[in-house]
Amino acid sequence: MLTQFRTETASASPSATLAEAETLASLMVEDEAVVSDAPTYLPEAAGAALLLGLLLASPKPPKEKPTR
Amino acid sequence: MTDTHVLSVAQQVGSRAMTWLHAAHRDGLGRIPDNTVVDLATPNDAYKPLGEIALVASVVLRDGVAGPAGTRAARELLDYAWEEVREGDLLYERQLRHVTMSDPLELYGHFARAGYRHPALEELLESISRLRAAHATEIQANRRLAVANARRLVGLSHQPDWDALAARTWLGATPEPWAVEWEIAYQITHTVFHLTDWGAHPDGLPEPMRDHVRDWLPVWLDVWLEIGQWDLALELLIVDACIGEPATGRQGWDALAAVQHDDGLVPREANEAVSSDRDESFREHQHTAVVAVLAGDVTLARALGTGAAAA
Amino acid sequence: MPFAETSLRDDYAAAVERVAGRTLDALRGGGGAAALVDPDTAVPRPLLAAVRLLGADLLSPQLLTGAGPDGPAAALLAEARRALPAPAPPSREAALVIGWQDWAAGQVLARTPYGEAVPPPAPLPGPDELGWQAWSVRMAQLSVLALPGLDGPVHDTARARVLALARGTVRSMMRRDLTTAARLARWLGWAAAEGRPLPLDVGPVLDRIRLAGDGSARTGLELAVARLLLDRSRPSTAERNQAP
Repeated sequence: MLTQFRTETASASPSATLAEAETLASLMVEDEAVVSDAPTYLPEAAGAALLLGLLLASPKPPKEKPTR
Repeated sequence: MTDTHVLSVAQQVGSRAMTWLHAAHRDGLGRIPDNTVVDLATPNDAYKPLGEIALVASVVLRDGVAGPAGTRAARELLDYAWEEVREGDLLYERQLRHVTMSDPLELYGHFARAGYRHPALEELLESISRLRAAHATEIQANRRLAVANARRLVGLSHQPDWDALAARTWLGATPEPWAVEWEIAYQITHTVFHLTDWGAHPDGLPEPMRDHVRDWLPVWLDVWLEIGQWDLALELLIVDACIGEPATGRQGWDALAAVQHDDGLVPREANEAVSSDRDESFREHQHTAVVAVLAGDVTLARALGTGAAAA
Repeated sequence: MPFAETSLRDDYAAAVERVAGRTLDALRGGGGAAALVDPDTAVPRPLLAAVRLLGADLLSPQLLTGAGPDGPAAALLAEARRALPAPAPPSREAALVIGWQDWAAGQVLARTPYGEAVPPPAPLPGPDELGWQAWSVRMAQLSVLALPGLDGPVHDTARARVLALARGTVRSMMRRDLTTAARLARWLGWAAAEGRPLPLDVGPVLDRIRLAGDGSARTGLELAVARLLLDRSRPSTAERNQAP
């Protein structure tokens, strides 16, 4: 015998049904994170760079880690 | 084959950066102070940037793809830098005092690339390179490659084991590409620069390392372009031109052309205002100008070289 | 009082966690999603929405572990597709993504007495049209298609463009978007199960996401499916790698 389920009745309001449809779609098609949190210059790693002394054609670090 | 759009944008970005760099030095920015002695108090202020000038000018002259104006600017910059290091005497005195210091050798390598020679310094460097001490210094693997490439440029008799040196770098281990941090990305670019001598020997990068770079360079470029790390993005574009057929397309060049200022300045990164003070602006963006010129130059040189080889 | 839509979204998200958690249990040999519902009471709509959203993954234990048929899970999925309003996507691209997700659900339901296959929607543009970055984000949205037994044009492109998938995975890892990375790593696991050589070691990626990711059941489900797919390509290592 096939299993059958009974579903809660939808709200009579068409706007509630539309909200369901839109929420469902937005969760089914999640976009990637809008803001990248990719690695940048870390002040705590600067000590190692200073110890290396002269690094030809490598950059000076930015003044501070940029904030987003 | 590199697409012609990439070549024209690369040529434009590089030549405009060269104009900016040349104008700044013509106007006396970035000089070594007159009273400088061998023990430089702040080598990063003028000495290291001069080395970068010698690097970019000598590579531009070597590749011969810059056109008359670019070639003249490179020649003037190199003459100027040679004068600043007192035609090699400053390097000689510094190396004589400090046996295991590698920066005089590294700077001199760039002058030697363009035929600016100092015989006494070369004799000294030859002698030092025979010391076990010269090879025992505990430095990072990509720095060891910088020293080996400088010895190669000067023509010293010491023959390094390139494969062993390469194997000790980050790239040599072909690690998880997602673990690359910002500083590590610069180590990667420098490993490629020194092994290939800025694109002169694409085969200098061992094949597994080259395959690894070809697989992941587009990702690294994309990720750091997105957050506006223009300086690093330019270094990655140099890498792309040093390894044979390019692995990235128009994305990087179009982004960099869009952020370059009218006077040729390329901002180091997006999240930082460019200072209106010219001295400060020069100090902060000269490295990015150097890598912009190099990126344009080696991109053109690689494409034209490929064309010549194919013909 | 919160906006109604925000609370609906929260309700759905909470339900997704519950259903994904149950499916994860089933993948590890426990009960299925149907255990969420008491047959004598009406199914709450958020739960049904969660079932609709997880789609074909509801039956992933049957496809991946050889678990016996799960009639209640299939019935729930069929009911969700019947009772809920059709999703209202904001763009044509989103509509295509949902269309392919529905195709996958239809394909797995067609193997049960509860449904029949639906015709495939229009093909999706590939990495040559979109660039590997945008294409891989799209593929992350289609991770539910990375299941054994599903095959079509989306899979053909995935098979042919494993490097683009791997680049997308690494890109998401470096942007610290580990949710997207997990979904792309699942495609790499699928490609491995298909016998494609991988340019990226996926095991450490899954482990990294397990330790540093959002810890949600939904991501856990993606990781578990990815691990099971990966183990299919390397049966000898299956014992060594415990499922995340």
